[in-house]
Amino acid sequence: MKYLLKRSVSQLNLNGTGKVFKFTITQQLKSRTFRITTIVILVISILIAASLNIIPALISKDDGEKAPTLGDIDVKEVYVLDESGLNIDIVSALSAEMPKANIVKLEQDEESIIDELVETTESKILLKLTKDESGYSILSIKPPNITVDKDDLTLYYTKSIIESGRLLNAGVSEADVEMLLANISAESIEAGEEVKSLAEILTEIYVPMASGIILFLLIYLYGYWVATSIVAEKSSRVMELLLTSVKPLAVVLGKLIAMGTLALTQFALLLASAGISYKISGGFANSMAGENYNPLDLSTLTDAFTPLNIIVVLIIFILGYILYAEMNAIAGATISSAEDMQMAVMPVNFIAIVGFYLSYFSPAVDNDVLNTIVALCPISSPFALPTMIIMDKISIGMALASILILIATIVIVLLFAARVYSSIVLHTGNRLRLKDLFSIYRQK
Amino acid sequence: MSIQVKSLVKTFGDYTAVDDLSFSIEKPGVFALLGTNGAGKTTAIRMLLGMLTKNSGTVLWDGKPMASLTSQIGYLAEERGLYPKIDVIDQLLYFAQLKGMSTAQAKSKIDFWFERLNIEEHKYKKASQLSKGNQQKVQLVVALLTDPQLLILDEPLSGLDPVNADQFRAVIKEEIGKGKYIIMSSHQMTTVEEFCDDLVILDKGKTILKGNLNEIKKGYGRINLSIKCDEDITGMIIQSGLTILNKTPAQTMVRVKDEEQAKMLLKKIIENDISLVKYELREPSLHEIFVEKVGESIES
Repeated sequence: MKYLLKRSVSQLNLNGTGKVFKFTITQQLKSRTFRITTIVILVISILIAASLNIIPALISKDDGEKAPTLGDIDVKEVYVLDESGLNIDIVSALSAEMPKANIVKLEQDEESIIDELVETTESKILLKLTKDESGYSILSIKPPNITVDKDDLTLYYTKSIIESGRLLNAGVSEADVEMLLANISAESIEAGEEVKSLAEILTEIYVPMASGIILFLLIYLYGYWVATSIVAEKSSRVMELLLTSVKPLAVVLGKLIAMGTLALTQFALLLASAGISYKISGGFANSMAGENYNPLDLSTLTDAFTPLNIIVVLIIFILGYILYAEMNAIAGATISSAEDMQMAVMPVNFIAIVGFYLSYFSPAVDNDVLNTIVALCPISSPFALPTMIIMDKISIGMALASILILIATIVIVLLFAARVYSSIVLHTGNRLRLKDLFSIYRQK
Repeated sequence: MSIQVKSLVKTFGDYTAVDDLSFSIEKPGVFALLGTNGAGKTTAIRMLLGMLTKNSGTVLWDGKPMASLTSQIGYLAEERGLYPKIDVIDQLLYFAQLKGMSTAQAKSKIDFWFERLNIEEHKYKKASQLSKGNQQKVQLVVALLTDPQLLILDEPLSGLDPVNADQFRAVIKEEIGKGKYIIMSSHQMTTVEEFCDDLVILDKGKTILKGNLNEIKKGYGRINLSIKCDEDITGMIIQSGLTILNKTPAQTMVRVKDEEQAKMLLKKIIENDISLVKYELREPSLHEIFVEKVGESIES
């Protein structure tokens, strides 16, 4: 290891890194792909953050909206034909609720009323209560040519009058009737399962998953851009020109730092825009839902954004980016034409996707062994660790161990890159495979 | 200033790309590095520039490792390279800054060379919008930007039309006039012959000929006879025991052992009262020396 370190460090002449860094940043900022990606990421983060306020506001607004009552509906006359034999004063109850309507009790001859309803253009309803073998029934008969009481409020209200009337007639007190007829909600869950609020589901499952996706996209995308940039310089033969002025590692390091800076800036912009969007949409949601607004309690999440946690998350993000960018840089240097790009980065993609899925599913599975593996494994820890720290799902010792493993992996890949990079960066022809890289490594 | 290359070796696995290459450049002018395709010229140049690590050997410029002085070397690579989608001016400034120039210095030099090579209107275009010849001119500007003492030109005239090739030749002559050191690699022997003083010919990584071109030619002597008569003298040439190298309607090229043999043939022509149109006895050209030496190497 000492010998390897000495040999590799001797090749680390990094003059010119700053100039490569500046040029890469300038050209990347000018590129259309970068601008579009930035806009898309910002829009998505703004929408997601705003939805945390807007969705509860919409739900609160729906819940708080005053349901239409009998008094609100436009009915001129309600005919009541009660053949149920129940001793319930339906006419009085309806009259009390529908002061604008004329409630008429029919004794018989409903046929003439039905004929009248067929012809009429006025809002009239006939309610017919009967008793048969199976129990009681209520029939609401309306004019065919106009819309009257489209929600059948008179029908359902009459039904509740009868239900409560029967209980009252049976000697139940009014308070007991109210209790007996109170709404009952029903839900089925498995033993040991907790009923979670929407806020808990969001903070414990969806936020980690979304964070994993965002971190994966940023780390993967910028690492891929490092590889693309190297391949572009190899295929356009610019690399040979660059190497007359700077060492290969200075070229790759300049690119890596430049892309990392942009990734970090984009990540910070993403967090800032999400924060601002959450703040602004909170006020908007409040005015939209009014006094009924019941915001999600995301205090577990927002309280976790302490300065220390933010610094640790940024460090992990940077380390994750460096690891994947190093691997992509080596992959990019193994080929000399853009057509071979997908094949070259496939092994890195595979590693990244495995790491991503491990981090993606671990919050949902919530298994201690899996969480430990995900936290310590350097291919998954960059995607999983930030959320684990924010959600307080990892001990300080474990987080430290994970970061140390990540740094050790980065150093090993860097030492390997330092030994093979100068040889492979000028390679033209067929794509170099992993065994070729190890062969070059051993030769050097 | 002097450049000393000693026992340079580069292997790729079992394949030896450059085998014990040694030469020195003691005075300004053009030094030619010649060879067939795959002879090891580009590998040797990359080692001179420190792009490739060498297995053994030294490359010194005034006693210092040349790899540490590459910012003072102008390089025109065989495979031309520019960023296709970036403005020409932006990439030139970038290359100049990597060589340690300030933006102001670089802009002034770019203006000078763009005017000299008649490509001012292409400064703010993307490289992909330029013709191949103009891209090559931009590459030459990159090599000349820092006004380097040493220029390495790998196939400088390949792919150029006659007008642009003449423009490149003129620039190379100007640089020679300024006392610059130039290492040139080319397959165009007439171009190399036009400029070069000393040379090395490589074949399969090995040096098969090196030295001063004039001395090499003198060493061969005047053994190439170009002759044209009104009558066919093929029989006379064969009877004289001479070898016909090439026969065209314009001339017959004959290899003689020495000047005496050539005089004997001339005497016979005069004695037979044959009308003589052309008679030129000369040293072999670089092209002929190259073909002969590489041929010998293949046969051996």
